[in-house]
Amino acid sequence: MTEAVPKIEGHAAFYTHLKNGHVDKAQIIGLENDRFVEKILLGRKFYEAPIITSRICGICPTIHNVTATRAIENACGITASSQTKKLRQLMLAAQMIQSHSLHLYLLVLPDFVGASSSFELQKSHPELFKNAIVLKKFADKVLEVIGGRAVHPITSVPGGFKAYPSKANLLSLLPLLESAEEKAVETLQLFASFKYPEIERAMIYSALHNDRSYAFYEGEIWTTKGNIFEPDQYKKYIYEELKPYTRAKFGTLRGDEMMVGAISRINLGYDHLHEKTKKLTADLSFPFKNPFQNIISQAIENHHFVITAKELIEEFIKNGTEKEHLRPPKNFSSGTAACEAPRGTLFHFYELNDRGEIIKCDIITPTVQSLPSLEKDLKIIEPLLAGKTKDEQNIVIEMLIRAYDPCITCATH
Amino acid sequence: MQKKTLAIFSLTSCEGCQFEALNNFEAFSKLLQFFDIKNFRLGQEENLPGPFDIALVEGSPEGKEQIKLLREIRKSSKLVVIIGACAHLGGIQSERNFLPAKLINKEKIKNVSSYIKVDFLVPGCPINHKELYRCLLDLYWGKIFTLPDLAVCFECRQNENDCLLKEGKPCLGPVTRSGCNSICINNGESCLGCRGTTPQPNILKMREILGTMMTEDEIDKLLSIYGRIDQNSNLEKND
Repeated sequence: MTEAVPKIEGHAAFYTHLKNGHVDKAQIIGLENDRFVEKILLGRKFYEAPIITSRICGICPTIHNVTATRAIENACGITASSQTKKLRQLMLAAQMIQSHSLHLYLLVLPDFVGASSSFELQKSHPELFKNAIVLKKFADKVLEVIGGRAVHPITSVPGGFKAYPSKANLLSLLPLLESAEEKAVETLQLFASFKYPEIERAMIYSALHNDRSYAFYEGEIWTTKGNIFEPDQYKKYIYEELKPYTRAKFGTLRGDEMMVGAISRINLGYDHLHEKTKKLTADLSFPFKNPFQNIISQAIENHHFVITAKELIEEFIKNGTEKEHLRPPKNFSSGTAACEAPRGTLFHFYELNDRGEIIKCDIITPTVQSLPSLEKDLKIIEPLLAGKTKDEQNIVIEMLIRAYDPCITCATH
Repeated sequence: MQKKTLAIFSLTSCEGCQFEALNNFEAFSKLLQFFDIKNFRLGQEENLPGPFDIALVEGSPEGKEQIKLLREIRKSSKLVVIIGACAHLGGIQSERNFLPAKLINKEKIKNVSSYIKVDFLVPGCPINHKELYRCLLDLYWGKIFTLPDLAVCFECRQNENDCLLKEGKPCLGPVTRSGCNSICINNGESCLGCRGTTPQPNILKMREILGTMMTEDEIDKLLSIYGRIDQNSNLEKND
């Protein structure tokens, strides 16, 4: 049993038991307290769901806001306009860049260049640190312009947007576009150049799928095992269970471990990545089979989403934004939505009574779905631990946990 | 220049205030001229025990371990600064205090000042990084950090927004502490009170105005999104 693992989102410890050199037992123990977000929403009005659920997580509030908004819209019979969809997609692209660049540079990179913290990294590798600043600034600025704020968005609500960016605000993003793309390319090249611990195993990958584009806003769920289902069928496919030793829930694909997140999206949707991104990744071999490759997958996605955001911003600058009225609810029933969060597929479900108050709520976060596979992988990295001291073994284990990019605050909402 | 020691602790919360603190990373790294970060689990590997000159505390304490940690932080720090609505008001999770026991049977969530003496506050959900940097610099130079005492309405008027209450829409601007530059109203949302109340809020009058738009129960729910602001805003120890 260790202390809380540093440099991950939320507090978690791990417990591994070695017997005759074999990993006998491996457990991830969430140390966060349960905030019962699903229960505190009961009795509240439908429009409060996106406000409160965005507070589930400080690193990915936007995805909770948008997923809750879409689920509430489904429960209220609201169809979002095409402009609303595009603005939300831009917010989600920015969310991906924000989360991936923070994770890659501040949490993962120190492991690969031998720095103990992001502050040390800043002194030893200022040029790399600059990449993180440029990318994060770009993403934060996009979220400020579209969502009103970099953490916990304000404007995005069921039915549309409460405020629209002015032309001047959109133009203020223009000078950031070139440098963001440049740094995204450098990031991809940097993380492709690292040597990752080599380990291969069979694993099921699961992500949103869309026939025409790289799915992250809407779609059906596809798995590499061959399952295809609509978001509202999630309860039939994803089983959640509680373990006695941790407050975080464990989610499986009908009992099988699965991996979600960047690596799954790349494995299932590589063909739909942007042409520029594909060109840069031509010499990598897909699909990825090594859990550590979730790191390079994030760098690939980071590039894809910078280009996606850039194109959307250029389109909005060219055509301007139109002020639309919020679309009102037609009726109150129940609704589900699934979006791709930086760490994998996020599900929100709401049931409303005839006064528009929430009477049932269910949220399944990505980390919940990937904890069982992380525990499984902690066992298969055994060959990497051979002949190492306890401290060195802990470093490898921590690196694997960090590669999964778990978010314990989300997992124990 | 003599550096002061800083620690950043996170209790039960979304950790968004820590991310907001890192929001302007360039400015945050400039702060490192003034501070040595001795404990910050989110950002670094080596985390040392106290004493600290300043401890930032995010989140509401829950469970024996976190309460114990909080008391240790108080003992080992010259100044304790709480950041964000969870530490200040209890946060969204404190709504459970008002739910029926058959739904949740857990200990009540109390804010940080119910357990220890708090020296300074940077409020909001999330905090504003500029306000946090100003607080840290003020404290470094030995100045007393103060928050504006006026209501959000003051800043909202300066930003030339139309009054939501006059339009018949609920808004907590008149009783909420300013300093956020009325960011929510500028973006089309009403003020939901995340910064807690002004020093002497007229809650009765606020309830009376809201009473023309919503039921008593709805008013209670509005006042408690981030923790009952009419009960928890004061930094004096409650019990």
